[in-house]
Amino acid sequence: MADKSKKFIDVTAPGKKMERGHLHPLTQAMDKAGDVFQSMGFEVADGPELETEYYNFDALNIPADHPVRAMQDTFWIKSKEKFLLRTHTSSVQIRYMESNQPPFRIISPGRVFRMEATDATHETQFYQIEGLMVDRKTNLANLKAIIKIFLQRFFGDENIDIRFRASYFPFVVPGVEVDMKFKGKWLEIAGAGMVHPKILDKMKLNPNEWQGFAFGMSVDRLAMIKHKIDDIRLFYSGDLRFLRQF
Amino acid sequence: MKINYSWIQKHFDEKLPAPEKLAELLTMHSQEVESVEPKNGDYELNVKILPNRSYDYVDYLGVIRDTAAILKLDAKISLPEPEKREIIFIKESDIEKILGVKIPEKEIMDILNRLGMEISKKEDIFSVGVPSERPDLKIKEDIVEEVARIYGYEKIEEKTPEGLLVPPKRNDSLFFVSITRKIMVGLGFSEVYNYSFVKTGDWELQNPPSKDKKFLRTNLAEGLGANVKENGKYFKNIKVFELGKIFPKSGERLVFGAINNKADFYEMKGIADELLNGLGVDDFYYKDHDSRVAEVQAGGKTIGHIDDNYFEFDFDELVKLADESVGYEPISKYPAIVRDIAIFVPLNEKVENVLDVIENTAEKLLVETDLFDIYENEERKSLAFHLIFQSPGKTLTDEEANAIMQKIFETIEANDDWEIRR
Repeated sequence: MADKSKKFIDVTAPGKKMERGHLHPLTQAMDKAGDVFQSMGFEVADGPELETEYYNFDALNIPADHPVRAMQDTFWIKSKEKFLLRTHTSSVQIRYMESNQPPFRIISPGRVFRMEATDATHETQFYQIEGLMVDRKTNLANLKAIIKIFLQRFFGDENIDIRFRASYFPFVVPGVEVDMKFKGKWLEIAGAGMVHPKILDKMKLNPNEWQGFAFGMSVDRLAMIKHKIDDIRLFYSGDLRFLRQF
Repeated sequence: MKINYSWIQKHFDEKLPAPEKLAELLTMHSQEVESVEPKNGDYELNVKILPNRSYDYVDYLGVIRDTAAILKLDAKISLPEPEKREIIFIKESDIEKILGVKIPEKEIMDILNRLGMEISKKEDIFSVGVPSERPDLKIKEDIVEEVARIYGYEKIEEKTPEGLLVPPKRNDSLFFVSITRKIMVGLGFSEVYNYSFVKTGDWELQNPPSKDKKFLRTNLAEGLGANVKENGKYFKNIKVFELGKIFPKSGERLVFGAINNKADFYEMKGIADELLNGLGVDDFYYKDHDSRVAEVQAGGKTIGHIDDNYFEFDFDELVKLADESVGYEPISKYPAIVRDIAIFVPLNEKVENVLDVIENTAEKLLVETDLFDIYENEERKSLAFHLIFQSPGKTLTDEEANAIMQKIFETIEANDDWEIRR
């Protein structure tokens, strides 16, 4: 029974306006990915956005005449040395391998740049997560398991399935394209493969002793799928009408 | 590259799967077929041929060989025997070691044969003769890839890696970045990601995406300022921050910046205090700066600047100074005594100078000073403090507090420009 002496409070009136801040959706996606991978023993590594040609291309077995090095794909800096803006975070993996001893388990999230005409699905800057695992026996079946577990945890959906398609990237062999079956549809989600022996060799690791996999995916794409965002440019708009929804 | 379905069919006696189905098989095992279109009673497969296969895929009937291998059919190919074959040796066990699945020897030989290789086996080593039109095959891993893609990646079952349960090393920069974000969000700020490309700077692009994006940014302030302006159309109070790389002449730095369009210097300073304390940065202080309101010093370096409603910190420096260890200080069991004091000082007098005098005079029993009011008239200003006295070892008496207050009064009034407001 209500206490008659109780002061009248209108519980249906609106509460006092409070304002919490919001973490950027890409931060949230990278944090989540970082948590999943760290729980599987992967260390998070980072490196510079302003890179040298060596770390971005040469060390990754990308030949000097490969089209990705051209001006229509890569942002080059006007400088005496050949500086560029990294086109992937694979450069971080090279830097990490140089200063650490195997076995390796790392992921490298970070901002990358590509010379592209912008539209709803293309930006001149976006975020990537790349992963690298090198051990004595790490194989392609392991890669499949790690990517599948990651995607299931990231999207919180145990029904997610993945498939590998034949593909080619200079830094892996075999190289595959990874599709994810999400809500009944196959979506391209990552590039992956077994680290090319030439790269291990450059890192002074014996390819007959060490082997492993590498993969890379776009954080923007993961977040767009997760939150049903239809325009990548929203991430970089600074528009609070967008950001406050996360 | 467009390839006709009938042209592929022409090389086989058996009927091939329907165009859509064949396209799917090629996509999974060979090259990606982007579309299949009916054309003049035939079908046109639009194939995205990867650069490593551009040489042989059509000219040397690579697509026919791939189709034959995928479907285990015999293709009718009448190409002259290649001039030379490079020989690649591979141990049978290496295939399983790389793929994590055992493929029967017979199937390996069959796949490689249909792809146009000459293959023989001695003990457990395959000798693979690669035709000259496949310069993309150079090392044993390339052969493993040929076997794997035709065999079918879908048949490779996932296996969780074996390994030691060693917890990953912490990334310090990321750890403190994460703390910073949490503090800022807690204080009501939202995070933005702005573009790295701007109109002017120190590092110029050879191939800028547009005229107003020729350089790499040298600060976060411009972007955050623009965020305030844009959002001003929809919101009154805008509080945003960014953690990102900037590119001054000296090279790349990680920087943290925040803006609050409704804040003044003192509010931004309060946020900076909270942040630096939250990161465990010791002994930081604020100094006058020529062009901005204040610079922030710690560890013998300038670590940041505050303007009226904006601040920016060098995060690479902050990470070096940050410290997550917290030493607990026992909470006194004895009650505190609070006394207020208000002091008139000249308008240009700094609070720090007044505080120094109070703290040096009061010594240890003064545990906290809280400036709760600043009042200015045309000639001078009044600073009002709560002074909190407490002993860790006993209950303080009024007499003891009064004695300290008396000492403070005398010291303050020894300065001719200062006056106790009574």
